[in-house]
Amino acid sequence: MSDSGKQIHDNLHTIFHPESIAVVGTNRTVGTVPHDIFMNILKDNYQGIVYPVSPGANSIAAVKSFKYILDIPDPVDMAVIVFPSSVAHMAMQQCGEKGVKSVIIISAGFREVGGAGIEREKKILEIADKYGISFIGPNCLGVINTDPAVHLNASFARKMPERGNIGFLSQSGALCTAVLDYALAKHIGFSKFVSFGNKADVSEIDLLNYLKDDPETKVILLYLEEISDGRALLNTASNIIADTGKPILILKSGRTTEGAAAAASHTGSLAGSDEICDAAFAQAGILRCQNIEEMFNIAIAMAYQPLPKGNRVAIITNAGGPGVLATDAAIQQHLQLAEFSESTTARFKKHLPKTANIKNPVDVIGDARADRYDAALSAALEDGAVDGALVILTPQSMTDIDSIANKVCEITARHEKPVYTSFMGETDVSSGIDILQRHNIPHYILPESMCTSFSRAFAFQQSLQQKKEAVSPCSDCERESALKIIESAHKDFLTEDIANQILRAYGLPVLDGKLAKSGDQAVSIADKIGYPVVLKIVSADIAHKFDVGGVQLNLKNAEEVKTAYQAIINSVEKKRPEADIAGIYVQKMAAGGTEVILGLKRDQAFGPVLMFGLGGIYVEIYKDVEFGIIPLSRDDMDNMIKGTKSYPLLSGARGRERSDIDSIIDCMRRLSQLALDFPSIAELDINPLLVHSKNNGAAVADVKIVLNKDR
Amino acid sequence: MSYRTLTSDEIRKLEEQGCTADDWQGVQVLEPFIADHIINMRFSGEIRIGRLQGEHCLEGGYAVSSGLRDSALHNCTIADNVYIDRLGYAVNIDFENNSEVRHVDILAVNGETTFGNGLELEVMNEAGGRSLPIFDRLSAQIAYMLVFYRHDQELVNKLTSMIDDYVKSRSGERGCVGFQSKLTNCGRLLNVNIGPFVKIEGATELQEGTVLGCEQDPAIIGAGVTARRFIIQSGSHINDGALLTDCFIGQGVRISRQFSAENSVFFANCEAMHGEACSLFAGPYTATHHKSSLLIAGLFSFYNAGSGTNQSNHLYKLGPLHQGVLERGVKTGSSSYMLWPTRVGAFSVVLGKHSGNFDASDFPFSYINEEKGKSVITPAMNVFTVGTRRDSQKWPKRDKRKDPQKYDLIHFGLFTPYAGERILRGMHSLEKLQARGSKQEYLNHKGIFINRLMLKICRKYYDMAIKVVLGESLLRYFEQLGDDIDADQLEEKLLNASEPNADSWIDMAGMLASRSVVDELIAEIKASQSDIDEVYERLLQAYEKYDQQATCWTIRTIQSLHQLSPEELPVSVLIQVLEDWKTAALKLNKMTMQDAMKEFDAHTRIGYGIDGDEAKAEKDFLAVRQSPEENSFIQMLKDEDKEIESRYNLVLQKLQ
Amino acid sequence: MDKKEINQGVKKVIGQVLGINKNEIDDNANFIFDLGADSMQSIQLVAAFEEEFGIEMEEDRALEVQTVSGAVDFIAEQLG
Repeated sequence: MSDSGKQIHDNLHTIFHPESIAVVGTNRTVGTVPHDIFMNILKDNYQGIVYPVSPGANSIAAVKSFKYILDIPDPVDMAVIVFPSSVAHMAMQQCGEKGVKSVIIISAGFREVGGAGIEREKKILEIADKYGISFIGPNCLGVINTDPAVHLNASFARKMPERGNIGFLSQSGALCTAVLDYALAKHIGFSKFVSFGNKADVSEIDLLNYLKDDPETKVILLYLEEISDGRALLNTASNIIADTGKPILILKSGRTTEGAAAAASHTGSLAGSDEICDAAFAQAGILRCQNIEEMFNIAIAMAYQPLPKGNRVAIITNAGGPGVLATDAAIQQHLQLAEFSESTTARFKKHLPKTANIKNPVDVIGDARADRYDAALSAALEDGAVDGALVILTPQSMTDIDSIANKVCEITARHEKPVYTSFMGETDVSSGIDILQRHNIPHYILPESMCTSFSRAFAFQQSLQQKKEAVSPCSDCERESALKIIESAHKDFLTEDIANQILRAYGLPVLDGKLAKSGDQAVSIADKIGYPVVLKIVSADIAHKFDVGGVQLNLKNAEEVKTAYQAIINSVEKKRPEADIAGIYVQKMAAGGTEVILGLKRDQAFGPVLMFGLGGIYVEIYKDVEFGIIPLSRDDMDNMIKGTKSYPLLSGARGRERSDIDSIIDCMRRLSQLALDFPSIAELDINPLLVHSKNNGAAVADVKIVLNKDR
Repeated sequence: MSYRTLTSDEIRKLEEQGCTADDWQGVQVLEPFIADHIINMRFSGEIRIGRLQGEHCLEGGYAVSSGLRDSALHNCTIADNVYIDRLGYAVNIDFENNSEVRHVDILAVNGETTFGNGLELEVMNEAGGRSLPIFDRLSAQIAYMLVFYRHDQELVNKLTSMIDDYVKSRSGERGCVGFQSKLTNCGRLLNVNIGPFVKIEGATELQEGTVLGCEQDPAIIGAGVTARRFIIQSGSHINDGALLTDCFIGQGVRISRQFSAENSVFFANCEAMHGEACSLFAGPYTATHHKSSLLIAGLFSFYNAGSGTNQSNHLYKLGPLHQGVLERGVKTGSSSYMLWPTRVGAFSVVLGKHSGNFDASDFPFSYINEEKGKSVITPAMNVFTVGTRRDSQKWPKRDKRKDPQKYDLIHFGLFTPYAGERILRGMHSLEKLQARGSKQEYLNHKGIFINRLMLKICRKYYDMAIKVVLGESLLRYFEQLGDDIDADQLEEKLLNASEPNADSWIDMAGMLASRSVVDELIAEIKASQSDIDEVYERLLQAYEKYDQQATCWTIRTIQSLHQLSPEELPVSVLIQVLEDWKTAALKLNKMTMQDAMKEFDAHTRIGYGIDGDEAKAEKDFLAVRQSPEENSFIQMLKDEDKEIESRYNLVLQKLQ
Repeated sequence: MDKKEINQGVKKVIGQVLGINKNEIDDNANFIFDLGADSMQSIQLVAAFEEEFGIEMEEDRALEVQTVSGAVDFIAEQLG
């Protein structure tokens, strides 16, 4: 950790474990934030000392108040600033003079309101910088630490959550109150709960790094509205996951596809910011969730129970219908129904009635009581072919719900395998659910959520096994040659002849070709390359050649070349009379192959992004593409290829020959290098890359490159 | 379609299936009769059984055939496709088509009953004096007239008599489980009429009541609910051990989490959780979500109760006979307390504990705080808060009622003529206080104190608000005219639109009407020779006069403020009104945005505390792939600024 | 009215509105940070200044004044 990193870490540690707190700007008006924050710290049993700082009052809730933080005779570990934004900088200045290094700024009215607010935020940052202060906020709900040694509610959330091992970080304050309420109802506990607001200083990256080392936190949840530094987020998250195995779940509010709308290339138009987010998170091992409920469903699975080592589940139910529903859901979520061993089956037969179904799902029948659940669950968990159990209960009149709940808790504690439950219903089962929740047994209202959560937990566990070794840079890439070509480009849109030169410099399998400025020249080039050839219009003003009749394929002799040359010129002059025509590219015709697309784009948050998918002119209709954030590991590239629906076409389905996937990977590696070496490349499309059968390589049949306007 | 008795084979089969009957002759069936799904039944009295074909799909996807199992029926009629399983016993019940009853202890009607219709509730005044007879078509407006117009005995008697006639039509000796209704895991249901599409799951006890539903909007009663002497209209959900005694629940109401109420009425879209109500008149959109909140002997509407809200209606002199009125849009902060009788103006916020009675109805959009034991009001402070704006936008979006027949007539809107009239009253009161020339720090107005130094700015904010009201109303009128604005003929058109005169405004539990319209309505009701249906028609007519009355009031007010005679309304004045509107509306937005910035620390985060409740109630935090609420609110204000400019320019072009 | 008189008047008003001893008010004091004025009191101060000095203060500009000396200067400007 760098020095500054250590300082932030230490300051954050003080924010979470302060021995003394000054609430700066508090007052006596009940119901206001300045008052309520002070009262929350006081009444929620904070274990340290809290000083109210209020220029207008001698005391707050019978606690002696100070006019300024500087008047407090003792050292102060942490300050919570609740003054209006107009004077927050004055409070910050005094905190600095006092030697306070850890601050939370609750007040709003900064960057988020624009105008003068931006200036205010700059001012407090300057002061913080000057005094080495780390601060959370401004414009935040505050911070909660449930560690009994601290027991701090430095927020204006109504209630302190229960203690647990989930760390929650949120950019939205209003969401926090809703989440706290939701969690209380379900007895979901938190280790740390932070609303970081404008993240002017301490960002989610710093907080993630802090939680990485926090022994109280086992699972990290993050709600983000915007991503300031996507790379840092991905790197931090991957490190945390790799070093500690702590799952990170993210809920990110979606953005519009305005970025995609303005794109010039296929890649540009397909790569919406949300799709890239999905890919980025998946690549880093972050689990992206669609909504709060899903987030907590998965979180409790990971926080309360061991990660499943396999996906073979035993379903135990006292009602056939829900058992079937769970089975369907399990299969849909790519889980397997475990096949029980003979000894397990024998145990079922011994302890369950004849009418019970002893194959998976195990139906202990409607009149089952705790003893049958005991027998079924114990036997299942002791079976080596079972990786986890899903226990379903429907309340019948004889069902002893609480006893069964207790039994499930007891048995689960004896095993290292995950057990999830679904006690279906509302009132009758509520006390049983309460027992399960208090014993950290994940409970789900629906069997479907249970299966989804298990599946995500398993997928996460699997992702931990992936090595993700970095790919070494290409040693044979001619950077200097490519640089010269790019520097001499006059327009942003590079014509195919120039683009091909760049690709050739980086070792991509470009087909032979040259620019012709006349029909005769075209013939001469074709003779040299060898027939058949392809003729393509070259103009920086024409992005889609086919649309203007700018392409002629499979020309077998000189005559055809000459005719085609003129036909192209005529067609383009008619359809795009204003286009500046550089010439016609004569290229060797590729010998068949599967068409795939490879593309590059720069995302504002994550930087260079690679795209792979099913290619051809209908790529934007099929949209069968996958994204990866550069740099990619070999596993990442493999995952991208295998993640497409059309992967079976490449891997040899229906009697097709297997394609040369290694050549695709090689192209991806080289393109990644190109993207890293040349930030001036804004977008790049290779469409199609023709992939031949195994060991027969691939060929770039067409390429578009767009450079940055402000390079 | 005619019933027949059972054949001996059928009887034998039924007996083999464990069925018994006091007299098999009393059991009659329709063709085709299939005995297969009638098992372990005990029949007595007159039993009629329809065609038991088809299936019912239970929770978890468990499908069962229609049929009767393990139950006792006495004098019951079973229509087609009914499923009954483990019903302790039913007496005098008609089970309609597709109804489903499982695990219910008792379902019985015990002699002649009106199923809650005609029951008199002691609303507003716990000691009596404002009794309200409820019936299953009661509307907020009818209730309002009955409760608050006791000075007009003729009206009250007329309405009461119409209701009595209606109640007679609801009387009967047999109860009903309506078409496609489901009853599961319930205790005792005595003298209850259950309408179509109702779901009752886990209710502990229902006695003397009616539950209504419709296909678009079933009523749902859930676990642990106990209700005695009640009416529940369509689309309402009562859950989680709620306890209701002598209550009327209107449409789209949500009551849950052990809320208890007695002698109370809840109209459209009310929400009540965790707390208590007693003699409450809850007009539309009354919301109380927290434990330790009590609403007693008061009129509330478009209201939100902070946790621990409380009132006293007992001055320990003559008993609990005091009442409170909170005009529409009021919010009370956490642990707030008021001593009745007290009246609070529209869209005001009450914080702290108030042990003095006051009438703050002259000052809408106010903050009422407690300062050192004194009730202090800051008028107009709530004109530009985020909470006020959000509330006014949210209510129309949250109309949960899907029943095509909506009983309660509701006018929404923030800066309405109703509010405008109140604002003018506020301005006038402030002027009078200022004119006193007192140098005292606080001035007393009807029991509440105003800081002298705030008079000027409060008046200024009211001035801004009234300009918004007038301009908004005028713009609406112009926009309705569309292209049909001829500047030359406009004056005449407007003057014509200003008749008949609309003077003061009344909020009849959600419906806004001018006094003249209300007087006319009352006269029509009193003169009616018809039944309660005519009252609904008259109310609807009054409701529909709103726009026209709003325009009237606007024009008359403009004339009054600009010292014009009733025959004058020059275009130049109209242009001035619009310019004033634009300036005021933009300023209002700017101030609201500043409020969103939480500059005013003393007040605005109340929005947060209450918004937290809303998030809980709404549960839309479960879907988060959208822009964050706070930022979209600021964006909305910015978009509104553009809209203000464009609306202004558009109409101005036509006027010039 | 000279600035010294204005200064005294301003402090007198502040003392009354905020309930503090006018002799303990520093010239550079910030109404919120040093004197504990809340937003309501900020408005009351403007109204009290208007009353004390017989002037009309444009509200937006007036609310930007946050210190004693700032108020003195602003009022002096209004008084010409």
